[in-house]
Amino acid sequence: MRFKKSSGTVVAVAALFASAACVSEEATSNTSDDALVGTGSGAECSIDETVKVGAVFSLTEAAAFAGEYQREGLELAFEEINATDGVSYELIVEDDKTSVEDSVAAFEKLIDRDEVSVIVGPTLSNMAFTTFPDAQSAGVPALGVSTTAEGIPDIGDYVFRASLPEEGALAASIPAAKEAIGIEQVAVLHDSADEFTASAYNTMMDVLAEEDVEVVVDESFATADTDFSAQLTKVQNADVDAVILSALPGATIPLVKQARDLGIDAPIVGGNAFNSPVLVGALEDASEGLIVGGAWSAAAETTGNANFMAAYTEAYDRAPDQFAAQAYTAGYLIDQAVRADCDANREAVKDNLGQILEFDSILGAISLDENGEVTQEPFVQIIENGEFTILQ
Amino acid sequence: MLAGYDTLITTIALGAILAYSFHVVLMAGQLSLGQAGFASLAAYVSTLVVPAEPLFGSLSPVLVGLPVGALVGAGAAFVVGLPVLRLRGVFLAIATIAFGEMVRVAMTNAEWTNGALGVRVDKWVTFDFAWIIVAVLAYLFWRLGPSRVGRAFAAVREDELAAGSMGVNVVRTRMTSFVASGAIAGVYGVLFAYFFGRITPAAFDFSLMMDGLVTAVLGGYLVFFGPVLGSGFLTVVPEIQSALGLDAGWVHPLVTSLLLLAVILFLPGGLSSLLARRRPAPRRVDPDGTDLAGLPPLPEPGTAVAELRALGKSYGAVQAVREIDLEIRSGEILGVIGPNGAGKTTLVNMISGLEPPTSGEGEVLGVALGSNGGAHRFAQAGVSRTFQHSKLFDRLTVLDNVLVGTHVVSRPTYLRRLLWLPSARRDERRARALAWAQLDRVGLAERAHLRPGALSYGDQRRLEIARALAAHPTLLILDEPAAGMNHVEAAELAALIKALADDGITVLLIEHNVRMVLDTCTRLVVMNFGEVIAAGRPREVAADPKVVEAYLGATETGESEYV
Repeated sequence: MRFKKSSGTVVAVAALFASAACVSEEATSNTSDDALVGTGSGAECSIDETVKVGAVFSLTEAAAFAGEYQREGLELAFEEINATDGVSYELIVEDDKTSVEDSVAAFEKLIDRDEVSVIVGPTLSNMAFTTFPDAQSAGVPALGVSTTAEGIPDIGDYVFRASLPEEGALAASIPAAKEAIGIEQVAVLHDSADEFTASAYNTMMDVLAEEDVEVVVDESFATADTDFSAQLTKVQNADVDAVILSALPGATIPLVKQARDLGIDAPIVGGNAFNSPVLVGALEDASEGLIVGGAWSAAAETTGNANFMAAYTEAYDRAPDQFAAQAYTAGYLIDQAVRADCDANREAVKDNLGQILEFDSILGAISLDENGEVTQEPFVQIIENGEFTILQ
Repeated sequence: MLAGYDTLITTIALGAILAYSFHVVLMAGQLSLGQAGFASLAAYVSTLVVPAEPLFGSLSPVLVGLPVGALVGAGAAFVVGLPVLRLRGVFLAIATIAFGEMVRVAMTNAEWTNGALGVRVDKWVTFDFAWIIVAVLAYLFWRLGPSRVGRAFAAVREDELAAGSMGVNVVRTRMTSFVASGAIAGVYGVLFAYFFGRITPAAFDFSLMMDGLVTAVLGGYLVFFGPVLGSGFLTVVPEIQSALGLDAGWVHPLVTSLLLLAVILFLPGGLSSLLARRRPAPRRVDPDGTDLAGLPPLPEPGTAVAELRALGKSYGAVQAVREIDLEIRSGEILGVIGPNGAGKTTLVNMISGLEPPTSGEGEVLGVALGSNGGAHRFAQAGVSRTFQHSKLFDRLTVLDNVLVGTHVVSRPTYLRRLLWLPSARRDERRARALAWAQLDRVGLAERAHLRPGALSYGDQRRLEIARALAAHPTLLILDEPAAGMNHVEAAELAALIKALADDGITVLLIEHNVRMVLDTCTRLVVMNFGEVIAAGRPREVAADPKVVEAYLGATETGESEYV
């Protein structure tokens, strides 16, 4: 009789239900692999096994403008490192297609299937908030190179970033602008629909309050907006000394152009998102006088910066940007952490990434602390004659 | 087990759940695209109620979130549905997309949602949990198919007018599908939040809606497992490409899109039509005595079935029907003839509740014309009809078309089918028996497994009659049933109509085949320019000079050729 057969199914389904609804607390089991432990230390360290390094970048879709630079910068770093003796690295790059789902899947692949020692990326903070907890619970160190949003290092002790947080960039560019051009009244414009720019906005308002700068216009817009005349008219009527902008490149270009077309000639101050030669190229003349706080400057005379720019331009036929520079630096930071104890196991990489102190990089002296936060001196630049120049 | 593939497998499950929320509205023919909004609302509200610790030590806290999410989604769908379900097709699509955008903007700017920065929660959803939900949904949709409400969904999808005339409450059916879609979208939102551990307003955007729609259509919405197939296909194809070493950034989406295009072009019913193509011919169910005996008796001959007093209908300045007084009594075969444009179809549309009159009043089987509610109330009272241009349910088989007709004489079976109650199986068997009886009656039993498109024109008209008869009507309205039939078929049809009248069914027949009308009808009404110009016994009416002049035409001798 059919009824009997189906009641068996019901029991089976119920049993499955009961088991799936349970929460299993799996302990992190990180077996260390002796093959990843070498002899010697520092520059003399030698590990026989190839060390696997994973990277998750947004190579396609919305954030591809950053992801491609990051991949190239990181690949360049490991090419250079692999040319030296002792430790060789295999870099496995995954594309997260600028989507949370693919980012999570990519992390899982690198953690469970490729069994990498450390993961670089993802490109966007949005994805990092979802993927870094996975790395944390799996016990795999993750090193962000463009995850600048508030709260990223708080995710856990396996989470690091070598990307100057927006707070840092703005905390430098606003006072520098104040000192250089003497701003007292500003207009603040920000994209309230994007989490990166919304986070930066919070920082801006704090810094402005600290610096005693009066905000006379405070306007927002949405990521996909293309017409900013309503906001800009208010700016124009307010007679401000500077405009502080927190926007993604997509909105920055039309906004700055429209501002200049309207005759707003006050300097425009921005953070990390401004720091790209592509942006300057697209803005053409309108880019003059933009003040940019960032983690890296093409004009900076830091160790190896000139070599980096030359090698990058030769390899990829275009000038590097901040994304490339930070990813490049991440390669050297990982190498540094592996060589410290000559151990490429996840635990060792995690312990040593948190102890990097004043490492001399193309970003200047850079430190990572145990909490995963980066410390470095930001560069404040002004665009003059189409070139990034350090603001003195 | 499956280490390293958890996310992939769960993504398939989540994609399928999202697709089910589109599946259920597509099943009922509604292009509703507000699911991202329902999912977003449900996800955010669930973060307010889901506890931070496991329940009773070991139960997943999401068990609290799921019903809350489903309720929030369903409630929002109901509130949104009240105004927007007046719209259809692309207008409904745009209105619901606008709702989704509204939710996104509201969530971005609200305080409690933490704006664009989003909310972080613990990742409680595991892949087996997600798949259990998929299994439950698949079960619900599997049992829905051959149930009364399942057939109502299909009928509304295929033709709302015909569905209403068969007694299906079209408004309620559309709302049911809309609310179910909201509930499933709500469940998806909660699972999404607690699988990825984070929600931002931007996660529930236009592209999420597109993903769900494409998955549902790709999988196919005519078969219950379509969403699972669609989601599996869309997730696995890129993975296979990676495994084959195709790694260039733009090649993946290109190949996936090409495959998508191929499926849509060559499998319009979606991937599931590959698996569901070879269906066995439906098994014949013969009515036993109790099936037909259970039907309510028809009224005694001579009882008033319909009464119209000074009924009129105007479309702006055009008076289609004016001042019609008509009484229809049980047991008669009333013929309505007249030239094209005389108002015959407008008249029967009013009698069957499809159009309200603009003047006068009338009552059909106790239902007042022009009262609120729609055509299904007339069908439930015992009016059943065919249409001048066949309105068959094209994607249903001949048998399923007739089964929709049994809507008003069967009981709802879905909830009982979910529990496998034997009474549900008895009711379904009875509905099939009634349907087969009508197919036998019109001589279509041999073709029960075909689609209407495969039938000849005459057979399509007979199928419409069988469908109308399956409702066990008191008053059967036939709008030009013999159009397109040859004289042999027309003669068979006339015999059938007489047999129906002998069974006690009152028939209202609109027909241009005057010979057939004169032979079949017991009374005749002639209309011209919206008015009744003659009424009475067929032969007498046919001899009326006004009728001859207006419609029948005369032979050379000046006599009507039909006298």
